[in-house]
Amino acid sequence: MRARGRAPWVTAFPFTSMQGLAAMLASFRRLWPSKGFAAPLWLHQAPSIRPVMLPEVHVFIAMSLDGYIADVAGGLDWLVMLPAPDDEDHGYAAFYDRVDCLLIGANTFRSLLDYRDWPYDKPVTVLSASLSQRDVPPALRNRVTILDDTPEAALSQLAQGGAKRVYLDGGQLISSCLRDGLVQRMTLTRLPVLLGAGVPLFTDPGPQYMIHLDTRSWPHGFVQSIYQVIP
Amino acid sequence: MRPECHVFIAATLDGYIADPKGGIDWLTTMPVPEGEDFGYGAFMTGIDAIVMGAGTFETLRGFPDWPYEVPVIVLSQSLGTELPAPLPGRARVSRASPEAVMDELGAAGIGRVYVDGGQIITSFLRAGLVDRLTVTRVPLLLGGGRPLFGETGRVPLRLVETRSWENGFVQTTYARAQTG
Repeated sequence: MRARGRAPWVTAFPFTSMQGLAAMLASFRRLWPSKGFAAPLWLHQAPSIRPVMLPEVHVFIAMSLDGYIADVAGGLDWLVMLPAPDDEDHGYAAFYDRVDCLLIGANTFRSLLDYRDWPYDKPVTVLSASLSQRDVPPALRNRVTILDDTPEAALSQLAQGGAKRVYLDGGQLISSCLRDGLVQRMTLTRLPVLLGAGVPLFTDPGPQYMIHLDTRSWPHGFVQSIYQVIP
Repeated sequence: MRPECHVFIAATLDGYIADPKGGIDWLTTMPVPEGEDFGYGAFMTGIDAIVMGAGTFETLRGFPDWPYEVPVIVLSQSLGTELPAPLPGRARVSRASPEAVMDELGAAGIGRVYVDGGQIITSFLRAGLVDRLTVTRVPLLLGGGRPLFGETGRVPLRLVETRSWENGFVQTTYARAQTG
């Protein structure tokens, strides 16, 4: 890696300031002219205000250093076997507490059914064209819904139902939501292991710049970074 | 005695070290804090030789100046061994395996080797040769390109340190995991 080509607009990097954010958006559009997206005025004025028809979409996910969220069989043994203190949840409980519901993909749903007791007490929507409500175990039918629709339509429905913040999970679903510009925030926890193969988090999410918000690490080697997605 | 083997590389969040054509414009156009080299200069001070793959070599040949003063070995089964000027004094092509090239370099008194390029890094990791791995994550998704990590097999690692800069670069250093 070599640090060349200092961009002329950099002095400090005030991503928290509105002018800084607007300047960055303008510069990124020069780098990615094919995106052709003109950010609406509200974004420059107050990024916390969003169009009312879509909720905030957050990702919280762990992966190997080489970007896999499961091994080739869809398993998570490699993750649970890594040494970590029993009482450390890496911010998960605080994250889960702030979401209203979940939107997950079909593969994630199947893994959850195979792997352990259903972990979620909040409503879960499963996006799938092939599964139906019959595939949901009877005990879960009051809080798990299969939906055959686009991610944007699903999110719009969830917003209309009162959801302000949705927890998005599943590699393919996350990648397609990134492509569609539907994700706001990603908390990525990298584990100190290479798997060499497996289910990747990112499958062609498209070119996308992010703002790094924070990184922290633990003695057992987990490194967690939080990013805001630039629309 | 084999030399120490170090990796120092930048990658996108989705794990690419170059775009599909081997280009790194996405990296060189990122805003960086004034005067910051992310530890690269200090890293290179300790390096006695570089081992890279053909892909990295081709990318470097596109730069106006050859950037390295230390000997460079290009591991490739397909590149011709006759290199055009001014390279013959600076770089040579080898058909050796990672283990064999590390033995050669050790026998020549080389103490620390910098390994560069996704395929080469992957093969050195698979062979258990990497002592230290520093990855600088750039806050962007490229969507496609040349990956940093291929089929390394399962490689446990030990976190040494991580730090980040105001432009969103996050640099993490790993060492071999202790066995036993």
